[in-house]
Amino acid sequence: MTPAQFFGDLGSLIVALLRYNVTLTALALFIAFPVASLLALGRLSRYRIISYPIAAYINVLRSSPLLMVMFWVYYSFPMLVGGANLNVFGAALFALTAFEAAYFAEFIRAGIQSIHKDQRLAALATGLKPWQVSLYVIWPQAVHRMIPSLLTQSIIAFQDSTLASIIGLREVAQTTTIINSVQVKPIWVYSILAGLYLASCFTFSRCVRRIERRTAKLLPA
Amino acid sequence: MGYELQWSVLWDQPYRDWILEGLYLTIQISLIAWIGGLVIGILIGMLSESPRRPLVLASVAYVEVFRNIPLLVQLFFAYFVLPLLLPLPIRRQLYEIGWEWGSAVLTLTVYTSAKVTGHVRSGLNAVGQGLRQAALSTGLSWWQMERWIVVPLLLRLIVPNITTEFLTVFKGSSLAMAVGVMETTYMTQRIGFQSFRWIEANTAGTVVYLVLAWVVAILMSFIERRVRVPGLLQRGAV
Repeated sequence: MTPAQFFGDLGSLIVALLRYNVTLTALALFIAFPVASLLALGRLSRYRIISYPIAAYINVLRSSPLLMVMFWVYYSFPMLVGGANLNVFGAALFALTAFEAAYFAEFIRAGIQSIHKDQRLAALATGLKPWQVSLYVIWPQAVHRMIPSLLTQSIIAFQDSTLASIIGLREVAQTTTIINSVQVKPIWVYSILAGLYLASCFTFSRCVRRIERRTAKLLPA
Repeated sequence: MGYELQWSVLWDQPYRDWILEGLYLTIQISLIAWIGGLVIGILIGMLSESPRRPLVLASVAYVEVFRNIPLLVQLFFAYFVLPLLLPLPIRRQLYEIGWEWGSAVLTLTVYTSAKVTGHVRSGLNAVGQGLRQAALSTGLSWWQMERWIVVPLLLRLIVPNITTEFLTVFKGSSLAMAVGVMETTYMTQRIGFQSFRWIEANTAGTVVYLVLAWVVAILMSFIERRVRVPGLLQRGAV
């Protein structure tokens, strides 16, 4: 393989990675976070009619493989809503968002519950209203606590975005397979693919570890 | 709308057998990968107890490499690339035994073992220097300390993490369909394409994973209660 071919393949993989995997993950996480916050609040609600269905949603999604969720969205939902066709990117985005929202909701709930109850009582005693206590006292601290686990889950979501290739999205894993089927050099192209992911996820997870250490210093449990 | 559910489809042949065959493969692959991953992960994790720095670094690198590459990419690598790196007679053997299955089991085993290695490393941290020094000061040799103090405590410490990995490996085994292993997810899709009863097929597949998760969770809480070190270690201690 000549250097020109190597950089050519590297280039097309990076383009596919940015255009599909990064975009898909970023959009999914961007939507999943507010949704998951609402889910976490609902999960903590004292009304069972709210908390039970949400707990069921979270547990079902967390017990299913992402691939299964993608099949639901891509193949079943069009039948439920009367044959409307969802394109592959939309289906992958919907599935990844619904899936990650369930995981995020549990981390957010853990973050909120890690703040000691006395803080709420103390804040109420200063005369703040309940919603002010939640918004200004509990939430900011909880967010700090949950940031490392949310970021770690985001790395997993970025890795999971490759599964969209199975329902037919032309993202980086499928692009690799296509390049390989034309030029038949599996050792090279799959090494480049693995290398791309290794480099980006390793860098990102190192950053997360640094943030984690800083958070631990700021907000000891 | 115009879509009427027909659950009896799932009971018709050949779909019933497909679901059962898929379930069997899902359980088989997951069990092998989990047990294999456990053994390999504990061995490689214990390398970080070594006084030799290269061995410690090897165990760190092992975790980082397999954690930072998506499972699907690892699977493609094992399926498409690995046989090419081996001598021809071995390669032929691999294709003969069915490398779809082999590559899926290998990938899941290695992936699980890397995660177990990570748990073992943090478990070894949690055992702590104080206990080790105390053990050594009673006159135990280094090996005796490892054998009688560190390892038994470590194994009890990491039980919750290891049982969680068992849940993860079931979900991970669904990726094996990408190289053509006919496990539950593959069969779900196969039924869907064959019968166009997607909702019924997907429900069946989802229920399989839910029931598996539920069974594992029950076993898990039973084992965790048995091995818990009183007062010291609970779920999430490591």
